[in-house]
Amino acid sequence: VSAVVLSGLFVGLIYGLLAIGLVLTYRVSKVINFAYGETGMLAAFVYLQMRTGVTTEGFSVGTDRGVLLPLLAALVVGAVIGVLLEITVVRPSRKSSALNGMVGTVAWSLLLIAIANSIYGPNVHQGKPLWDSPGIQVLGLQLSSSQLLTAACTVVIVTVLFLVYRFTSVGLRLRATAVDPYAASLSAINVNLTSTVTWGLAGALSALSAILISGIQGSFDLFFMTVLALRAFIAALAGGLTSLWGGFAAGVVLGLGEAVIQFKTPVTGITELVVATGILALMVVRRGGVVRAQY
Amino acid sequence: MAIAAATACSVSAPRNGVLVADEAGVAGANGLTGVTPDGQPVPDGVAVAGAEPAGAAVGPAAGGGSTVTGASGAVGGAESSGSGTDGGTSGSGSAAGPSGGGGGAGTAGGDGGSKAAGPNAVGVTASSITISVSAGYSGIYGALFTDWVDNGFGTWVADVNARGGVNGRKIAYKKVDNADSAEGGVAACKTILSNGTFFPVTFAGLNGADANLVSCVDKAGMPSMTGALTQFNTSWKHAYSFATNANSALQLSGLIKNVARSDSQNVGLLYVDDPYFSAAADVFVKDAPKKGVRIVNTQKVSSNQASFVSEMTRMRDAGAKTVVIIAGGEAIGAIRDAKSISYSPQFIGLLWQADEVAKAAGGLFQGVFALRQWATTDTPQYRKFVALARKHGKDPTSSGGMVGYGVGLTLERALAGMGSGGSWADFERGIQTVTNYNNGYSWPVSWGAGVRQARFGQFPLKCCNGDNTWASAGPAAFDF
Repeated sequence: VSAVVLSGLFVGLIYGLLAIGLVLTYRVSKVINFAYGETGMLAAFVYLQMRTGVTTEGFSVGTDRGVLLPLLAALVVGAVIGVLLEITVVRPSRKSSALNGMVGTVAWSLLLIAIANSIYGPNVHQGKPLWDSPGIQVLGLQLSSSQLLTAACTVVIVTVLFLVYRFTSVGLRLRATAVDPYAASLSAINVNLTSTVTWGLAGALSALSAILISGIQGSFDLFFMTVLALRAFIAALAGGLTSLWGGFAAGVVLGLGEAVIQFKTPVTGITELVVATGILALMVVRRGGVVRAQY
Repeated sequence: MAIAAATACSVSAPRNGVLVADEAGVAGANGLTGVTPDGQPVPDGVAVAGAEPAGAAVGPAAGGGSTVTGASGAVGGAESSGSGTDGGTSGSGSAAGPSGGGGGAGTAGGDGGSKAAGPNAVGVTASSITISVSAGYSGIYGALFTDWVDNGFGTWVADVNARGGVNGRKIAYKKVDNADSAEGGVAACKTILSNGTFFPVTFAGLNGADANLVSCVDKAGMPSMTGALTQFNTSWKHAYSFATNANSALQLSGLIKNVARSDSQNVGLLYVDDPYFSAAADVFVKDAPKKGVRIVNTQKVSSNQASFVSEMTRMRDAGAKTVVIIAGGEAIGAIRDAKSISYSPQFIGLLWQADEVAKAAGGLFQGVFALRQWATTDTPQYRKFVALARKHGKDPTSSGGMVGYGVGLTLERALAGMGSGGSWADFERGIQTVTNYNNGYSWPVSWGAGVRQARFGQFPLKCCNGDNTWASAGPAAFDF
């Protein structure tokens, strides 16, 4: 059981990591980014291509060209997509409706899948971990180096974001924009710039998440982030969509819960059923999420 | 007949979704027109040679954009004379005959169809046969299927034509996309019934695309040859299967006992809860006890599940020493998570045995046994295939191209078996002449008189070669 719980914890960390990115952008724009997973997916392909070289068929993995440059390029790609999303979808929706923005992000997700499909093809590709070592045995579960790295990155990212938001002037501007963009702009805060930077940051975070996850899974395709992002949406929703810690914690709980349900109730689909029921119940009982944002 | 077929499937001759390639694998200039072996364009929907509609079917099967008027009740066909005019504006025929044949006479591009007469079906002349080749070209595995067809089947077409064709008839083909969807299968059927081809060969179609396609053309009386159906529907009258995913599980027990020589009394089964995989799992569950294999634990998983630790823990706790995995890419996660809990049974694979998956898994599959329908890259057949493909200007990107090539070789047998006849009935008789045929490239198959669902064999595999492609664990056989 301990191995199952530990495994669930690591899956939960992934959900939590993705939920953070969703919360980041929602806070600043009130737009749910449905292209979040696909942003990371495309960046992960860029990372793989720069690191090993892939063909459209996707299976010819070449010589390893090192981590740094491919990682940097992928982060830049993720950030650029995030910025483009903000400029083309979020900013216009600020003058109309957040719903327009959300529909716009759905369109972007389809566009990103189409782009990735045309460049890299639809087949399964071998993931290339950022850090490849045998890993360690903990409570009967062999933890891979990718899992450990993901856990470490998640803790660092959550902590840094918390500190930035809480104790820096940048964080103050971000929080002010999240609470009331109009009032923030009256206080000489460049709301557009703040929003753009946040979306860019979230794009880079999605890229990093996708690269880490592709390393854990060992393989990935066009839709590998889509399924995970759905779980992240649930976690973010449980976190009220505005609390970084809330979203993260909900992701971890979701991963743990799934693992335990899956182990204790060997009925196919029961996990999805329980999760869906839980979300529906949450929507009815506590529409603002379990955790309220503290700006 | 083709018009009757069209009626049966409510055909309105849609042209979208049709991809056409010539024998060299190059798409036709307008994306809709195929190329004959002689390099002449094959107008979409042109009826070739005589037709045999009962009553008087008029016009080609949706050919050349002309108005199609088909007499109902054409099934049964006609041993007919037919006539048509260039462009397929009209055609007529009379007299009953065996099934098969076009709904009206028309002309073949550059083939002088207007003067042709006889029992040939649409898509058949004395010098050519045009067939549809369907797969999910635009689906998620589109690149793979495109490779199989362009480089595999295309190699056979180029080669057989270089050898003079089959019974003097050169082969042309048109690619028809089934989009890996149920509605895509029906749309593909409609296209096939109106694009001037003799019959379809379907390579794959997920989500019921292939079954819908076969059902639809079957209702029209058109024969079909299908490569990887999920399951064969015994109510079909003119459908011929090379193999079905469900029955590919019939050889698992033999593989476990006689090839992998693994523990056959403590077998676990893990499969994805999806009809594509569960059909095979059901067959294995029923077949295993008959062959002395005892299943001690069964786990169903969802596609794209994030973790398999729970399932693998239960499997280990049940004492399974051999674990059969019937899944797709989920196999990677399942084996990865088994290893993460230090659980190392003998894994046996079904339906995830493409080299691409093994490569994507890195070295994770080492020691795993599996079954698949085409030869491995370490065999003489693969070297011969690659050499032949390159000779004809192809560039196969994976060993899966041998499926297309092997299917072509099998088809060649069937076409040879129909002799100089050109009706659907002749073709069905030709298929039934193919018995115990093993070309070494793809499934060994055996039909025989009255048999439409071939008995088929597979290739035993063991992972892996140095480049992480599957290695051969012996020759293909009907059983192990």
